[in-house]
Amino acid sequence: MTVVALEVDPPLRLAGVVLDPTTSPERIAAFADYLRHDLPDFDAWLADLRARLGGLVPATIRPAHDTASFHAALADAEVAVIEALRLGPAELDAVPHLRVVQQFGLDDRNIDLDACAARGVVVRTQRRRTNIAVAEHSIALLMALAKRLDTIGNVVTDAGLTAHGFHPTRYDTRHTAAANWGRVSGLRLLSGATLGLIGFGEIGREVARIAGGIGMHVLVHQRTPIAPAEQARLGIATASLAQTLAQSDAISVHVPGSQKDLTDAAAIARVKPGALLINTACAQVVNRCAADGGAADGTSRRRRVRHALCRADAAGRSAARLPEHSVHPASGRRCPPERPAGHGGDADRHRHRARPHLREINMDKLAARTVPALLAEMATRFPDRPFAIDERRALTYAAFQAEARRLAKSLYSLGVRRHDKVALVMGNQVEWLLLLFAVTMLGGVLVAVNTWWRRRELEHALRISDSSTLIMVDRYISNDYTQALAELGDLATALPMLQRIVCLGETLPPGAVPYAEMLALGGDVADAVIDDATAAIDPEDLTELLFTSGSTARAKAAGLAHRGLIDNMHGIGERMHLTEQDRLLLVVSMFWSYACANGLFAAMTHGAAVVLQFRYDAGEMLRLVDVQRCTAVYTQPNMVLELYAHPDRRIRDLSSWRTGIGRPQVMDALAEIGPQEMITSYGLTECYGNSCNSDAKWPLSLRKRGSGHPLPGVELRIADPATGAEWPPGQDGEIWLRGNVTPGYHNDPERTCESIDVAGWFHTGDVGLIDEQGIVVYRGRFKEMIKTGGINVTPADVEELLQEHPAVPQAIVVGVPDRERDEIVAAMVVLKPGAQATPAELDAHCRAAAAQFKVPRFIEIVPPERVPLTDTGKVAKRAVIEALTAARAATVSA
Amino acid sequence: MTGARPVRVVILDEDHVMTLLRRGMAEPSAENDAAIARFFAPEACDLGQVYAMAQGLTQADGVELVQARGDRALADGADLILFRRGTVDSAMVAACPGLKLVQRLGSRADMIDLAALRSRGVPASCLARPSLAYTAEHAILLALALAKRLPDAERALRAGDYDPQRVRSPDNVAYNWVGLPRASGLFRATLGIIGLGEVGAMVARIVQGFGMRVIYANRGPLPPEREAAFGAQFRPLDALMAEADFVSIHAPNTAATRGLVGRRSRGCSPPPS
Repeated sequence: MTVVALEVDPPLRLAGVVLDPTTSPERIAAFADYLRHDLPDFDAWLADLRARLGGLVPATIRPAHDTASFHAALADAEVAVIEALRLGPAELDAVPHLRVVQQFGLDDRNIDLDACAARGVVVRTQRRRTNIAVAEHSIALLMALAKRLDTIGNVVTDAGLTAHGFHPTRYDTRHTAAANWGRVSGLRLLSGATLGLIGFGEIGREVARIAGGIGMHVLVHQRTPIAPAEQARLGIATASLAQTLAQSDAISVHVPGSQKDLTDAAAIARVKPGALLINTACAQVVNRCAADGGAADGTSRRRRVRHALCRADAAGRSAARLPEHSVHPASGRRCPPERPAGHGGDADRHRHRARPHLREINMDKLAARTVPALLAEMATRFPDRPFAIDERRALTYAAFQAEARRLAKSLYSLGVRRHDKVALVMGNQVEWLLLLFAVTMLGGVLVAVNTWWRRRELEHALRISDSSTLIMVDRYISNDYTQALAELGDLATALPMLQRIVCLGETLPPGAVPYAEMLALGGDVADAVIDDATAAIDPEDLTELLFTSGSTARAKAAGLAHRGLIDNMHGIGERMHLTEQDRLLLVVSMFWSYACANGLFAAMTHGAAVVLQFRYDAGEMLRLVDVQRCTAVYTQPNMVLELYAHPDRRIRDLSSWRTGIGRPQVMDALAEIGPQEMITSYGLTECYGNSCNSDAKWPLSLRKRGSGHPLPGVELRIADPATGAEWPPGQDGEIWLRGNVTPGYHNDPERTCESIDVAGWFHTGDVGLIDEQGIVVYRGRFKEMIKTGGINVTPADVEELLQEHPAVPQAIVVGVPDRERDEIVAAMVVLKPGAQATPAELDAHCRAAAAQFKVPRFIEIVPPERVPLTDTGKVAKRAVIEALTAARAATVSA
Repeated sequence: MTGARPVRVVILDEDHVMTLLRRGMAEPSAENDAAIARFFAPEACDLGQVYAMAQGLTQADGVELVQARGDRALADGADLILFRRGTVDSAMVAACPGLKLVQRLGSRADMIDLAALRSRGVPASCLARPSLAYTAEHAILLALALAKRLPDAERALRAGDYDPQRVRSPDNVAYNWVGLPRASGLFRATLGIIGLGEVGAMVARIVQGFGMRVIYANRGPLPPEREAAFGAQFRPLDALMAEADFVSIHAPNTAATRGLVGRRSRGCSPPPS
């Protein structure tokens, strides 16, 4: 029997399995499992291999762990298989039988070749398939990043690209080339780019070989110097670690696992912005917190690199190596030590993901990753709990799901298919929700149209969303939609994408299908049709297109995807500590993300119910809390002030109301009205409603301080808007968000690019700061910064100042044009019911407390109903500026 | 340049890069700006940089730009010839006594009479086109993504669809965690290139680094020295489809190539290994 001295190495143990009949059954079983994906019939493979090895089987394997055991193993060995153990004259002199040395790899520095040759011992080296597989995988990951495969893989149709937020258009080939008609920006060419290799062992060399073929410049850093002739032969150049990091467009790490945190914060800070980092070495080699930019010095350039990580410890042939979860830093700022119980654990458990801006956080409590799957999951877990309640109906989860499914069949019969955009114009009623879920069951996208809009806005909404179906009510309050459509003239010309209209009501537009008639359709559609359509949905497919309030420009349609809706809203619900016992009152309009994204899914991911109020009215709102025993309410500041002043407040039983969302400035008023666990928020439609929330269990003083902490799936940065540099705590900067952020504005790549940078940061245009307790404080819109006499004044500063006056619950501060000082600080002030104050008193209050330049030059006191609001209930700053400009002019001329 | 004869730059054939060149050399205007921006879309372009590159090359600098649009007679007397398609033969070279440079868009030079230029000491420059390199690299990316099943692997990973035990196995030896069968690689596999033109040649060059074997199908075999440069062997289309592990198509989009790879050849490739 041949005796083989074998250096112990996990993959080399396979030699024992193949050659040595005394190998333990456990080891054989372990390897069968290890290789089961490539070798389903391990035994047959083994038998075939042994037959091909002929006289070598059976053999005796003598394992060698170290020099001593190697010497012992060599005593009667004819063959030695080694990787790192030294074989020199000392060993050779002791082994009379040795005939062949097989080096496990190409690097034979451990073997004294002359001594072997002198003794007639044959030395063989081997190019390891494993190393080639790792090298190929490194290049595959590099290419995938450079070519954005993760975004555009399998997206090859106009519809698919559009659904992913791109704007595919053919080029005018009379003038330009036809390439990249999908209009996917940021694709990079590797040819001509510099690849930095850290570590240049056998895998590094394999990578260099491939990269050279692609036409990349290869820059190598390793501890052992490489002779110039060798460098020329390999087509590489060498450099220090610092130079390699600074000069490379892409970096690939190929060092042994014993080197940890090789690319630490200091190293990452040297890397070119936007460079690609590939780690197919051991995970710990790259300090991923540093790569993500969470360095302790606070000045690091966050996310300088995009990286794909995977492990390459040791492997069999053709290893399919997978990107490993990357660790995302939870910096001290985001997880302050006094973080209340119930959230402390999240950061550690959930900060892993290969691309932090697509992380999936806090989702272990839910299996569903798509909206229809979520409905199915809840209908299974809570079949008899109420889900959707309005003044006419109350549906349990099970009943709701059954009805939504029937509706999906009706829509299918009508012609609605995957990726189709279905526009919905309807007030707050259960049908709104049923249609949302029915559309998503088919893989369609619900386009939520603002019910306050009229002809012009409606046309814009239908056109920019590519809606092929419109489901509408004939009228809502004072808006006549049938009339609005008639004013558009010939619809085939005005809205060529629009193929069908379904109308609920009495006055139908020409050609529209009556709603009841649509409901009668679909009886012949098989269950499998709906199941297949639902199964085809990808978690990153769009669910809803929501319009962001277009106070400055025409409304943009922000897409929200299935996974983000579930992930982000689950996080919001956690902050409110919602359970299936809760009932959330949605007074705010369903078409608004606050309701149809935020509130709906925050409740639903916890098995809670939503109660819909058809239209806003403070008295009706109090009645609904009372009779429906609502436990949570999403509020707006103006609502709170009205509730506070409402005569019914004291006769209604509001004891059920516990939580919900409100602005920091009305938290005291809310606490007085009743709920003791209201939370604050910061967010915007594009970022799945809220990106920050305080926690219901925090003390009021902490909750009203600001907007709480970023949600687990969100990264937040206070940035210098010009350079992107991160500001230290306490300083105002632009709020940037990443994580649960819209894939883009539909049919509007320009504004998508303006808002979302290549690193995935959404530039909000909001001013904010992070205070010393890690709480995010919203300070206003960037555009609203007042420039008076060369000094910048943050409106929020002055608003706070005014609200410190006991008579002032609400102050709106803006810049009013002024000939001498560009702008002056002006304020519109609302007084507490029954309170008294004059502009002169408020002026004195401000002068006593703050710097001269912050004191408003003009103050107007108005009743609450005179505060101009946008469609979505936010203060319309532009209208405030106009009103104050006019009022000031009148004062001056008088 | 006052008083001197204008420098005659002749563009032999119209092409979108040539058009860009022309616009860059013209006076900035709203129309020019828009056309240049369109050319670079969806990437942002710095118009100032584009116009700056034309500095010293405008009409004001004494450059006369001639668009021959295929009329070879207009090349007479050229100081500089720019072209993409067509030929620069000895007759054309002879008709340009002041010729200083022949610039081709594209990496191949076989349509230029290099001997005629050499005898006159006139250099020829052939510019590899980045858009073709993008295409070639994209083909490699797709081959790798298929071989390594990248989309499936990524989806499985994101969905958390793997056994955590396999990630941290006792020896810290982790391999194919999600248990993805039929993952392979490019090393020693055979690549069949249909259309070994400029893009096909780039692909052939890249895969040499991967250690792939290359076979190709063209209308006919290439000269042996060009075959040797790529280590590529000619095969009729059907034979290529039967032999190749990966097939990459780089044929031009013409009436003759429509449906070139279709029912007849589908299913001829060996099963994925």
